[in-house]
Amino acid sequence: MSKILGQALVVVAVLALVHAAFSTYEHLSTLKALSRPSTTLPISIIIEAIVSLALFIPGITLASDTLEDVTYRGELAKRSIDDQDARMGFMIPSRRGKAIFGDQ
Amino acid sequence: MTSTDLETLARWRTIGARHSEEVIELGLKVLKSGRLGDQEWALREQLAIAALDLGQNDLSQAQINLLHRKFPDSPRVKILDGLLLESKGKVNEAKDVYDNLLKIDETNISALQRLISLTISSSSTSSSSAAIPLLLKYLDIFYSDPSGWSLLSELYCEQGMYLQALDSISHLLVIQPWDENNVRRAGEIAYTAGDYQLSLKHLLRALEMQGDKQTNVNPKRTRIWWGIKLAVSRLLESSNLNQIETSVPIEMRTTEKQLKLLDELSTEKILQYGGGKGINLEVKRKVLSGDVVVR
Repeated sequence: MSKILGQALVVVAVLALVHAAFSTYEHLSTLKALSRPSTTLPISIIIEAIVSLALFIPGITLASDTLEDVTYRGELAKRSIDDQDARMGFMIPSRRGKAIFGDQ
Repeated sequence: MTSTDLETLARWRTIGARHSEEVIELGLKVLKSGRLGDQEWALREQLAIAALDLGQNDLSQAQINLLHRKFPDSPRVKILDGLLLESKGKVNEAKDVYDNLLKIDETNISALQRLISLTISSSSTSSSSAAIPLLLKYLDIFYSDPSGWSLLSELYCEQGMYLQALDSISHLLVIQPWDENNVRRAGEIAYTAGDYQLSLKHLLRALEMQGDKQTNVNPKRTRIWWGIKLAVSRLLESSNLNQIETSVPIEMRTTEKQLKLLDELSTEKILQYGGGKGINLEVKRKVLSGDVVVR
């Protein structure tokens, strides 16, 4: 449930950011057409961009998968006794395998 | 953790697990479904090895033929040829394959490894003693191969040369210092060799590496606790602790008071984590309390 909420938040945040970028472009091109160059943006666009960031951070936190344990300890705890130290380089083909699983 | 069949197979390839039967089952399923991408050839190699391990030579041969067509003259595929011959029991022909590979490139690690395992598998009684000199020569050159040291330790154990086995395990500990299973193995070998103080040191270290309550991901593992219990009870059996032969210096030995506490703790932990129910629990209680003497 929280994952879907998170994904929705991320989508809203991205849309808001795209909208803010588009508004900036529109605003500046209008000013340019009126030959009144300006270096500042209207406060509403700035607020929109900041709100988008504020939505994105909790959104992506909720939407991401659970973190993996990347320590050696965590990895070794997951391995079964067969997985440890199977020494595939020195493996000897099973002599009994043929009788049970073999072709005939 | 859920993962797709393809991811499971890739994980087994990475950690070098055998699982031949499952590899064939999953591998054929994945090959049928098609979506493989660049993993196809690695998967076919894995499948070929699994098939020849189980004596399904037709399947293995089919995969190897495909690999030959894709990678002509690849030494890695030629190793598979040799493996298939080994699986069919044609030892001398397999040996020729590996010798030819070594003629082209004398540092071909796989071929050297195969020649050593061929020595182990082909001769009957004195197999491990014949393989040890070969393996030592190999490890002299390729020191950093952990599987080599692991095998050497096992071969020494088969010969009853436990001190040498401990020595090769200690090389393994230098190469893979993070692996608690190697430390546990060192403890078990020391126990078999009769050096219970040293065994206890190794086992306690392995236990420490597994982590405490917060960090131990899988607390159901009790093998180390059983080892500790055994070593401690052997030490407590003797009337004078200092008379037991050990390589641990006197000031670093575990004292009798510590041993008694460890004995209680290991009993508690074994019952807590691996206790089981009903009759299992009863049997474990009896063994741990010393009513049933296991010799």
